[in-house]
Amino acid sequence: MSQPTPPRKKVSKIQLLALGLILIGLAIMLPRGFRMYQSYQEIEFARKHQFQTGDVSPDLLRPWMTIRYIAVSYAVPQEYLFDAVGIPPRRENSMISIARLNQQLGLGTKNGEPIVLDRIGEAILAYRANPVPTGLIERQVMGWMNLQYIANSTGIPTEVLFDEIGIPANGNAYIPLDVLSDKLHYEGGPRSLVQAVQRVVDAHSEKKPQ
Amino acid sequence: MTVDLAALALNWIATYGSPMVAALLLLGGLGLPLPGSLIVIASGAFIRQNLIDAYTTPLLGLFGTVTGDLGLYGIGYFTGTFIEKRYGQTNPWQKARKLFEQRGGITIFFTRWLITALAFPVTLIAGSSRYSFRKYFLLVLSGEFTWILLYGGLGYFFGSQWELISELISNFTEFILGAMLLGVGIFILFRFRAKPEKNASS
Repeated sequence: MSQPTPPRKKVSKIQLLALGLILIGLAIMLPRGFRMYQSYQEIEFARKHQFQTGDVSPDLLRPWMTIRYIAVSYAVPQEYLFDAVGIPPRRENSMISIARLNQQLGLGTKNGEPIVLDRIGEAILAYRANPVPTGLIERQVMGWMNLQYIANSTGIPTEVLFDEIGIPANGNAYIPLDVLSDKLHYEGGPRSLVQAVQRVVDAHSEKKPQ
Repeated sequence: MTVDLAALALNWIATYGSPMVAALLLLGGLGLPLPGSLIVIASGAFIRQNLIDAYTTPLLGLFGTVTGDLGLYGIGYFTGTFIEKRYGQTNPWQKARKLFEQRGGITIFFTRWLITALAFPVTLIAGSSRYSFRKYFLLVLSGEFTWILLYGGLGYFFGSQWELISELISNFTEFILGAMLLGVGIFILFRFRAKPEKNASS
């Protein structure tokens, strides 16, 4: 004779609902938590590699970077990068991430990275081998630019820029002007520094034969 | 070339400036699936890079999103008339309405800037349950102000790295939503387990 089995505990609807909520909650939290950690690591990556020191390796390029960020960090004129990637040199294109640009162009990936990133890496190396002053595509000096970027775009040597503005060159070439003005306590603040650089650029472009 | 909605929105903002920020946030407030937080963070970054105006963008953005929220409240209010007629006198409906009147404030405030994924249903519930318009307006105004100030400020602070911070925030708000579901689930489970013991001792 078989022994009577103990009565099974019934799982009520409310318990099922609670378990469902717990599972859905965990299913949302775990991947997001992981991605948050990855984003945090990328923020740390940008801080750790000190893009403001210059001479950064193209291996450090990341899909979240924008053309403008890369242009300033690597001191390569935006126009040169736009040409290399094959996209129209529009302001909005310089402010969206490489990943998004790559998606817009429908280019896919190479070794898990957006193809645009690869093209930009090659363009940086080509530019370093043969620097070409393209002129400032932005038409004017802006606070986010650094003096190395302005020098490479306009063809005016950085030493000349530093001399004529009257600020020390030591380790300052890759610092954006709005940050540099704070660092040096530049009289009149960022706007004044930008105007001073603009005057130097204008004076040199007037000197240039047309 | 393929076009994603976020990229299209960003291109429009860069081309048309602050009125476009207002228009997109208005449509987002009305419930259209637009990436509102991304738009606000990007606007902060675009202001930093002198792409759009620093004064009109936050003001018009706030105006747009609050107007969208009020519009959606109105939709909830008027479509709620039917539900009110049908179920308004029933006990559960009146209880739910009373509960939202008591606790809805905090929900409305936090869904404007922290758990934005729930803003749409919460606004509709606020409208259809006839939540006090004056209270709703003040909560929406303060919540959206926090959203624009905090998220826009982060975009401004991180400048060219805004896409990175946008991804972090997007994951954070979804993480909070998940944590809330987990918390509610655990709460229900414990509350349910406690009940039979009470019955047994009585």
